Amino acid sequence: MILKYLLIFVMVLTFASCGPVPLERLGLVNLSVSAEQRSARSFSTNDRSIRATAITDDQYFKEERKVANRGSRLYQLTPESFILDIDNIVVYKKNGSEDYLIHELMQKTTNPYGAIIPQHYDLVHAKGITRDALVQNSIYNGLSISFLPGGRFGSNGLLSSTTNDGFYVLSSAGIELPTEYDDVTLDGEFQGIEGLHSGLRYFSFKSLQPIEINNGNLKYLTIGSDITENWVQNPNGEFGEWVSPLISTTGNSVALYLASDSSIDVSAYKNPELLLNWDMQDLVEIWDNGTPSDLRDDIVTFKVSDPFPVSLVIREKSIKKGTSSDITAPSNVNIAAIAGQNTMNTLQWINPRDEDFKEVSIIRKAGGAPSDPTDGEEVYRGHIPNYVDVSGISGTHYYYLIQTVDYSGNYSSGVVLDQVQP
Amino acid sequence: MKKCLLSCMILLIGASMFSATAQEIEYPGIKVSITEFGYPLIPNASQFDIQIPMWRGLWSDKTPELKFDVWYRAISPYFLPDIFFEVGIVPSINLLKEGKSKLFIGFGTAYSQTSEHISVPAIIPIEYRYAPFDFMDFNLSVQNMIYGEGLLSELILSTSFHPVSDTISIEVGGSANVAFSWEEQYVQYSYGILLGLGYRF
Repeated sequence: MILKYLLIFVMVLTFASCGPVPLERLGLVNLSVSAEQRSARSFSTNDRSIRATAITDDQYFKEERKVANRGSRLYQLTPESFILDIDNIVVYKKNGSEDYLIHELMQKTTNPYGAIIPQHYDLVHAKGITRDALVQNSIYNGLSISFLPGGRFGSNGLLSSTTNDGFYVLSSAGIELPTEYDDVTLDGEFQGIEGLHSGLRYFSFKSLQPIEINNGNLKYLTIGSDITENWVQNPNGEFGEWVSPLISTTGNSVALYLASDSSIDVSAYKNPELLLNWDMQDLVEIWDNGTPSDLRDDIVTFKVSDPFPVSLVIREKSIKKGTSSDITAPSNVNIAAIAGQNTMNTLQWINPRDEDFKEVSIIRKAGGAPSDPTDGEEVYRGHIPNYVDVSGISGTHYYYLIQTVDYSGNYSSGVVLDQVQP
Repeated sequence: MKKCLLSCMILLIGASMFSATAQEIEYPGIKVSITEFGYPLIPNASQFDIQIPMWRGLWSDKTPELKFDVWYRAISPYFLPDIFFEVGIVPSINLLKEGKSKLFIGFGTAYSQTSEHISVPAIIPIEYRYAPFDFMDFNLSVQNMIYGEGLLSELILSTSFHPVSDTISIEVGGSANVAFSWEEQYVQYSYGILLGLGYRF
């Protein structure tokens, strides 16, 4: 009799169990990453700043940017836009000499062939590069970012359309150049991407960064308190093995390590947010290359005295909520582009800088542009700034309406892209 | 971390090897304990636990040995309920009648709250205790928690010492957690160490 009632009790309790699994019980905490330009005075006393040490060593610089060759500095300019094509972001904790506890933070998009589609972020202001990634509630030694440096140019000076994997790489800085350069195309400058701001001139990250990497490809940035080999690892771009907190691999990429004297302690925060602050103030310089009368060979570079002025701030994330009184539509996405390979359409864009930006909605329609959100099929909703459509039919002309949505439920007017699916 | 877990394993295995005679592990009285968890090493979770034994033979020789565990856990080294807290109760029954080992199996529930969600799981714990000496015993427990949207299992491997008297105990060990959500299709895990201090009235 007792067993019978016990069994009934067990069954009732099992069926009555409710709610999600509280991952916080595992000692996990939601960690977000954003990017923002802030002056040092705007940090509150509760924010904890991790400043990477400045790089001043001349020996690794590209030949024309060494002290003896670069000539005189003509201008210091602050980019209006700074796009980085990010593949992955991790926080790591060093357990042993080559043993790391690693938490990946990014929600990645891959195409059916396994290639990671990079995510364009404008580091002048990018809310929620990663949102609520679960990490162990602990103290970390650093943060590592892998990105694509861009710089694929055709012979006509235009950015090559896409990579072999069928997507755009736009890592670049958008700068307002002095008027004397109006009729001069400078080295590293690119054009030809729809949506680029007409008042700005765009230079690829690969050309702006001043490090000589030979056949390598500067594509890792690590800010950490335990970096002993700070500065550049694998500067000659040789194929071989090296160890990075992010990844242990072979190849000819180059990792840039910035040492910090602080750890990333997320344990003191309820909803910790890492704010990546890539200081844009006077970030870009123009040097005359030793020929003051010739503008065409002038060097546009990250400032050679401190080319990677990066710092992290750990702070409490502000939780966004919408209001019924907010009826202002958010801005549209920027530099939206469509590409494709084989049987897919790849869409990429940059999320708007609006503080209350929540997500993007994409409506697809065959044969004509959607007129409103109900005219077609919603194929994507999220904050990740790319989408790979593999559900279409090759040969069909698809139109995509990309609208941004804020936390109050307002929709932007939208941007339409179209392509005949390969 | 690997060294810590290895040390715990060696300690526990070593303890069982040196046990010479079977002893009845008798723990009368209510035990209260506080435990600090480190995921993976830095203390970031704490638990207050009350263990209420109900003894075999209290009413008759055939009365099964029962105990109740009541606890409060918070994701904070200082028991603060800001991020997460949980209160739970589990009655358990001992399935091993003789010897220096005990095998408890129970069924209970808990109330847990985060900043966003409230969850009420059904809990099925299985706990094995082994006491080779008067001053030491070890504990292997698996706490299975069934939620509305998934499962969570917590494995604890620990050793308790009674260095001064039977009333005071120090517990050291490791903890590993696995969570699976069929609603959101993910598997998450974590591991850490634990250090506890207990007092038996």
